Order: sequence, then C-alpha cells, then structure tokens
Amino acid sequence: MTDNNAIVATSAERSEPVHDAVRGHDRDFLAALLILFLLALAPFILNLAGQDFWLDVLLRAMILGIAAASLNLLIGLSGLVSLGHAVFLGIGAYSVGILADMDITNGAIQLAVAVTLSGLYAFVTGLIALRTRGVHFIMITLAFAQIIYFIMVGLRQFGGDDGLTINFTSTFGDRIDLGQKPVLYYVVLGVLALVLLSFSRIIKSDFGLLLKAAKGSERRVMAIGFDPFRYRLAAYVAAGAVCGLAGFLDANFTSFVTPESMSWTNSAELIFIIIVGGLGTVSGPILGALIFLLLEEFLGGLTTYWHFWFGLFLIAVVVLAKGGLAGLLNGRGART
Amino acid sequence: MSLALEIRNLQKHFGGLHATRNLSMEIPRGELHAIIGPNGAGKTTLLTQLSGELRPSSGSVFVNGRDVTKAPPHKRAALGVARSFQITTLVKDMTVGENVILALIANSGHAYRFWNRYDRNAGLWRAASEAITRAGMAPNLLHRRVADLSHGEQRLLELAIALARDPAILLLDEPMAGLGSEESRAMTRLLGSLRGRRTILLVEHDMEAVFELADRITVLVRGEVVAVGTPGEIRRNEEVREAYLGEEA
Amino acid sequence: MNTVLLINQLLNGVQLGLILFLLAAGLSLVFGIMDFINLAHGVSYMIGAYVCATIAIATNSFILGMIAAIPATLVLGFAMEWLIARHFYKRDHLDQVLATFGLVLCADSAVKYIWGPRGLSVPLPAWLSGQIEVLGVTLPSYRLFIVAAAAAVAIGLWLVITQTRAGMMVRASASNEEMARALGIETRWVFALVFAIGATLAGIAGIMVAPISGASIGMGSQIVILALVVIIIGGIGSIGGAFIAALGVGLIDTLGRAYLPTILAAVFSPAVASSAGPSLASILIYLTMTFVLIFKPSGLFPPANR
Repeated sequence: MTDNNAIVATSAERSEPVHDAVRGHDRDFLAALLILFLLALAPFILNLAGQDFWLDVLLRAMILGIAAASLNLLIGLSGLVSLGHAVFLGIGAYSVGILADMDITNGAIQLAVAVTLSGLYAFVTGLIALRTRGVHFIMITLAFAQIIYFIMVGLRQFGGDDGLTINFTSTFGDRIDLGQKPVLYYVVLGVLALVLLSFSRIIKSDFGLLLKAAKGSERRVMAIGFDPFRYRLAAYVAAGAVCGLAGFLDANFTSFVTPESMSWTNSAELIFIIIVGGLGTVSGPILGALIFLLLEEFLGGLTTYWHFWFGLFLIAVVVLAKGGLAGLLNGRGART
Repeated sequence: MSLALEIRNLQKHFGGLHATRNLSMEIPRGELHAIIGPNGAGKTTLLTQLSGELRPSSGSVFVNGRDVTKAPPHKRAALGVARSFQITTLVKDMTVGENVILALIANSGHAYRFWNRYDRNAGLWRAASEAITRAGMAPNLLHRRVADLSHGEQRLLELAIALARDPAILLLDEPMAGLGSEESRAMTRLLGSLRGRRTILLVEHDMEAVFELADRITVLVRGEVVAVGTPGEIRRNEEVREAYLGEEA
Repeated sequence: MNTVLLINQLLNGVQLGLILFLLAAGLSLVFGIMDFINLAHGVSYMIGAYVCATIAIATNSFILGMIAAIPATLVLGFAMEWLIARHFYKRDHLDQVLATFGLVLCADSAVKYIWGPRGLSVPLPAWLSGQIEVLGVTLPSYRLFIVAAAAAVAIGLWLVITQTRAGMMVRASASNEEMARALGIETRWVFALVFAIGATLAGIAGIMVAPISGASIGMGSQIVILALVVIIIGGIGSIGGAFIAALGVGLIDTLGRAYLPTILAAVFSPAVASSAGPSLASILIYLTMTFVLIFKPSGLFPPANR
C-alpha cells in the first residue's frame, strides 16, 4: 500500500507539460485498443453488409501493421533508420514457401524456421550494420536486403524472379489451418494485439528508456556504463524476428511469395506507414497500415496512375504532419 | 596510501599535433585534484583519455591498480569512473527524472528488462528526486524536459547524474563554465562537500574555486606537466606565474 | 580465356563504371554539401533517357535528342531543387528518404502517363552503331563513344571543381557554410546550382544508356541504389573516391556477370551456374560495400574536412 501512496505522491509532483505527455501516451494506447476492438468486430459487420472483400484489405493491413510495428522499434524508439526491413518479410514468407514445397506444412515447424532464420539474419547483419551510423546504416541495411533479394532471384528452383506459389497453408494440429480465412484473421489479430501490447510495455521499460537515451545521446549512455551496441543488437534481432513472423502470416494470406516483396521500395513503404501513423507510437503502425491500404484501394480504384497521388501525399505528410496522424490525434509531436 | 588513478607516460597526438606529451600523474584515493592550464593545454583531451572515449597513442592508465588503457567508456564506468561533460550530453528530449533514472538503472548492471515500468516505480523516482536535490536542484524540476532547463540547471544535472552512479572517481570537465557567480558559489560548496569522500579530478578555469577546493593542482601547458603541488606551492611557483597565472591576472 | 571477349567485357565494365560515376558525382556532391540523401536522383536519369528517345525518334537524330535532353534535365534539376529538395536540407535523413521516395513514385507515374507503360528504344546513327577495330580488336563504336564522352565530362567536372572560382565556392560552401556566407557567397544559389548540375550529369548518363537499354519506367530507382553504393564505397563527398569506386563497381558487376557462370559451372551443374551467376554478380557489389564499411567505416577516400 505504501507503494501506491508513493505513486500518488510522485504524480502529484508532476508539472503540467508532462501531464500532457503522459495523457498523450494513454490516449495513444486507448486508440490502439479501440482499433483492435473494431478490427475484432469487423468480420461480423462486413458480413452483414455483404462486403467480404474488405476483410482481405484489413488482413493485409494487420500483417503490414505487425511488420511496421517491428520497424517502429528500430526507427521510432532507437533512431535506427533501416531501409531494408522488408527482407525479413521475405525471409519469413520464403520459409513457409520452401518448407511447403518440401511437403512440410506443420505450422509450428514453419513458424520456428521463419522466426529463427529472421532473427539469425538480423543478428549476423546487425553485428556489422550497427557499427555504422546515419546514411551508412541506411545503405548497409539496404545492401543486406538486396543480397537476399538477389539470392532468391537466382534460386530458380524456388521460382526465381517469378516467385513461388505456396500450395499448402500452415496447419497447427488437426484443428487450426491458416488456410481458412476466419482462422487466419483472428490469429493475425491476436499476433497484432500481442505485438502492440509488447511495444507499449517496452517503451516504458528500462530497455526502452535506454534505447531512447542512446538515440538522443550515445556518449551519455556510454559514460553511464552501458554499451549501446548490445541493446541495439537486441532490438534489431527482436525487430527482425517479429517481421519474420509477419512474413510467415503473409505467406499464408497470399499463398505466394516473390523476391519483389523484399525490394527497397517495400521497405520504404513500411517507413511511410510508421511515419504517417506516428513515429514511436503504439497505435501508429496499424493506423498507418490502414491508411496506406485504404489509400491504395481508394486511389487505385480512381486511376491507374494512383502512385502519382500517393507520392504527393507522402511528400505532404513529411512536410506537414511531423508526428503523423497519431500525433495529430494525440495533440502532441510524437517525434520527440 | 593507495592510488585511485595512475597515469604513466601518456601520449596522444593527432597527426603532427601533440595534445598529450609523456604525461604521468598519481592521484591518491580521496584527493580532489585540479588540472589547470591555458586554452589548448590538452586538459579535456586528457580527461577523455581517462574516461575511455579517446584511445591514447601510447602510455597507460590505471584505475585502482587495474590497467584500463584499452577499456571502452562503459567498462570504465562499471569500475567506478564517472565523468561530466563540458558540452552537455544530456538527453534533451527526456525529462530530468528520466536522465537520472537511466544512471540508477545502470547501477543494477544492465537494462535487459523489457516488461517493467520505470515510470511507475515509485522507489526509482524517489531516488531520482534525492539525487537531484543532493546536487542542489529544486525537486520540482524532476519532470521538466531537459531542453527546457537553464544552462546552470543543466550543469547541476550533469553532476547529479555522475553522482547517481556512486562513483569512486569523478572526472569533472569545467563544471563552473557559464555559471553565474551565485551558481558558481553553490557549485563550489557542492564540490567541497564531496571532498575526501570521492576521488575527484577537476578541470576548471575558475581559479578562485580551484584554489579554494583543490588538495593538489597540476599545471598543464601544451600537453605537458609544468608543475604539481598544493595550492600554496603552485601560487608561489615562479614558472607557473610567468607561464600562466600572470597572464590570467 | 578469350582475350577479345575479355577486352570487350573490360570495355563494358569501364563504360558502366563511367555511367555510374556521372550519377554518383551529383549524388555525392549533393550529399557532401547539403547533407541531403536523394533517392530521386535517378529521376533525371530516366527523364534524360525519355526526352532523348522522344526527340531522337521524332527527328531520327540521336544527336538532336541529346541536345534537347541536356537542358531539359538542367531545368528539371532546378525545379526539383526549388520545389522539393531545398525544404529538406535541414531535415533528418529519414524525412529526406521518404520525401524523395515520394518524388520517385510521382515521377514514375508521370512517365507512365506521358509515355505509356512500355519503354522506348533509341535508334543510333549509322556512324555510331558499327564496329571499330582498335589494335586488332573489334569493338562496338557506341561503347567507345560513351567511354570517351563520359570520361570527357568527368575530366571537365574535375577541372571545374579544382581549378575555377565557381569550384572554389562550391568547396567553400561544402566545408563551412557560415564561412562561405561571410565571404559573400550566396550558398542558396550554390546549392541550387550544385543540385541542378548533379541532375544534369545524371541526365547525361541516362541519355547515353538510352540507345543500349532503352528508356523504361523504374530505370532510375534501380541505378540510384548502385550509385549510392558507389558513393558509400568511395567516401561521401569525395569526387575522386566516387570515380575510383564507380569504375570498381562497374568492373566487378560486368566481369562477375560475364565470368561467374563459367566459374560456377566448374563446380555446380550448368543450370545452377547460369541462373545463379548473374545474381551472384549483383550480390558481389553489396558484399564489396559491406567489406569496405567493416574496415573503413567512412568509405575508402573520405574527404579530409568531414
């Protein structure tokens, strides 16, 4: 009970500006909860309205949201701008595709391989990439993505350039088959909820505080006695593994994987998603993914030249909304 | 008498420029040792070699008898070396409390805690509040963003963070720089209160403070030791008067 | 090993290297001076190729196409600087990456709208499309033309930067903007000029490759990545470093493509070798960059003032 009293005492000491920031965080968290709740209801509502097509859009948004949330740990929290994050989507998806090609459809095995390979690749490349800074980091993450991209282009037995069609979806025992849309939908929603919850905890944990501090002042963190490299590597591996998981889910959703999914433009789209949703926020990745796909559907339906308007929108977002849409909703600059 | 800090034949050159020349020093535990010298004497360069951010060209550094010449800053910090910076390296977009809490977390040895809530740990905030109070800051600054602090407050926070690590050896890089006279006096009082309890290496331009605080003083000119002695001895040293103090006065 | 083939491949490698240098020079100057990472640098490469192709097809003269396309990319460079780039010089790299990525999307769509989704090919005049015999080796004359023209541009650029007052102003602005302003140099104009000249150099590169590989959508976003790799290897802001790195990357890529399948065939089955060879060659470049960064984190020849 004494602990509780102390909490009251400390929050009473808080001065006004921080009060706003704290509320901003809570509002961000509530926004994430609300979106998850609506996503849980969506299948019923869309079914009643006879708009089942939109279910696919939501599924894609959620999968991209998971991938974007993992990138948010790097860019939003740690200030590590990776332009090769889509490679982990590809590693996850090819794990499913290649195993399915070998008639291994056991979801547990596929999942383990997808996550382990992604984490391993993140570990090995992170050891090198995290020794560089700024634009060098941007370029070396891109290079590591291009390497896997060209390997998959070259492996013609797995489709090469044309990509690999996945004929069998992942199964967990007799009951769970990710080939069934409703099952996949709620599995993806569950994973998304877990990832967003974890992110909201991490940003308020010792680990998150350290990453944030290392972004702001690396010298300070070292003078205090931490080696920022190790913590960044941990974050990099975690982000890679989670994005590999998103790739695993994506393979089950699209039943298809191409090297193109790892191209740098896909990585740039992931960055767009977290910027438009709000860098470093909990709700940002899913909000950004929803906006991205709605834009694609909406603009894509209007004109074949939708990329033009999308490009303009992107520039406008960077110029105008520094904290992304979540920042506007929360009434604060999320980028701080 | 055991040595907290020992420097043997330290050399550092950047191309043709010698920033540190064959420098040796012995600082016993508990001493407040000041380093003075004109601009460009290599005081800050020496300090960064002691904190581990800069690797010397040759020579060695011992902390409590252990050779740390090749140890990076975070390893030295773990051995009880803390430093404050001349140009502040505080995390500007975090609050005062968060900056201090980071140092308190370091005391636990690591930050691989992914699921705890530092912001709700009342004990941690209380300790942070005590740490800034000890450094002479008002407790109501705890939740202020560092970017919104005055220059003087930032200097105090630098010290509060260094002290929060409970270091055996404190390296201070011009803690008085840019402070008003009132603030300088407060800082002098604060450093005086630490005397004897920690080993302190103080680089400072404020001669009044240096001569009041220091047990011993080393005079550095162009990377070389010109004189070492008690404040009284340094004051009487003709060479120092000519080379340095004379100009200042 | 066939010597004639080897010489031809070396020529191709040098040609790719010089094209990469024309792209990398502008990219490196813009990054070194304005601290601006420009993913849209390939846009003027693509537009250069398209304008040249259009005019060349309409007038049946490649030279007229060239003459029209060079000022077009210069104007494009000024426009991009004025409309987009200058607002992002002081922003962080993340914003620059996103904004210029947006610009790439816009440009690719605009090209698709104007010229259609299919690419254009450029006819060469007879005197450039034949073969020339040099010291007993038959070489395609257009490749020689590219090498000569690109080398001339490279030397010209080097002379301008090192020998002229304008070049001095650029270097002053690069090393110290405040100081340059105090000396009465209008850095805003220097920036605009550097950006536009960089875009023109990229445009010239696009014009030169147009007769070989045609003008196509997305050609810019592919090659800009290679040009970025070049400036990272060479050291950002260093023109000399970019030159050496560009030639190195051009040779590694071309020779890798030509000979890796043969080398692989000695170990693996021919099918594997022919499919894995070219992609391995592409990987080689990225591996080279990785190794350079492991041992030289700022690239091979980082400028002294950075």
